[in-house]
Amino acid sequence: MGWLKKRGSMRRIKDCERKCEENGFTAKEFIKKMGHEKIRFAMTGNGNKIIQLVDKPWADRWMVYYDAEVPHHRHWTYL
Amino acid sequence: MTKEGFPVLTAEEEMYLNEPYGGLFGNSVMAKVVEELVADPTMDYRPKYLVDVTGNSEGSISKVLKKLLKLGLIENKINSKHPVYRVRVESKKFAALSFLAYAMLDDREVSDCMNLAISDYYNSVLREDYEPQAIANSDNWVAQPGIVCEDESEYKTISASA
Repeated sequence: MGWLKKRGSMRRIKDCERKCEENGFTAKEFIKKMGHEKIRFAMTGNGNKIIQLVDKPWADRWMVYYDAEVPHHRHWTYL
Repeated sequence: MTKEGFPVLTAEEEMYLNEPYGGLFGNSVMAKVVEELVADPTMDYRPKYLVDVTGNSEGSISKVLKKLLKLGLIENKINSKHPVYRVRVESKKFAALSFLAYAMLDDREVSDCMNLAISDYYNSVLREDYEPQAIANSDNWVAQPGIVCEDESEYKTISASA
């Protein structure tokens, strides 16, 4: 979510799918779970599929909750 | 809407798609790498990965990484045979670039992401240093003379040594 927000809130589907895979889930599954009113698929004029973050306030709250807005210390674990 | 039911981006929206920082710094290798790193500071980055996601050559990615290492935005991950880099989240440059990423979005979409991120950053990082904690202890309270009202009776002001 933070990744998408910091990339202008929209990104080619190929890039999003790659990022989701790195984190252990699929973009399609994530969008379905969160709801299309929050994050959705969209198209460019020439027919390329993208993913677009729609509900920014929701994304903000989500990121604050998970302390992911501007992480300032290495609070994640390396496996 | 497309026949699959997907909304179509406007020409203006498309202008910003895949442009690092909305095109503010052009589309240079440096801008692309910085945007990628700042967008996900949790990852360990190998040069090959950045070559793949940016579509730039190994040579140019390597140059950029050396420069960013010197500038302190990234650090080498120790105990690794191959070069692996990670973002120094303690760096102020990282925080500032995160705010900038949100600012680009806010100006375009009239959202409030940057202010919220700043407020969260203030609360979690700065508040402790900038707002001295007033811990009142009644044992140390003293009455201070000096303020007098019209009927010349003295008010007592109370101060606490915090």
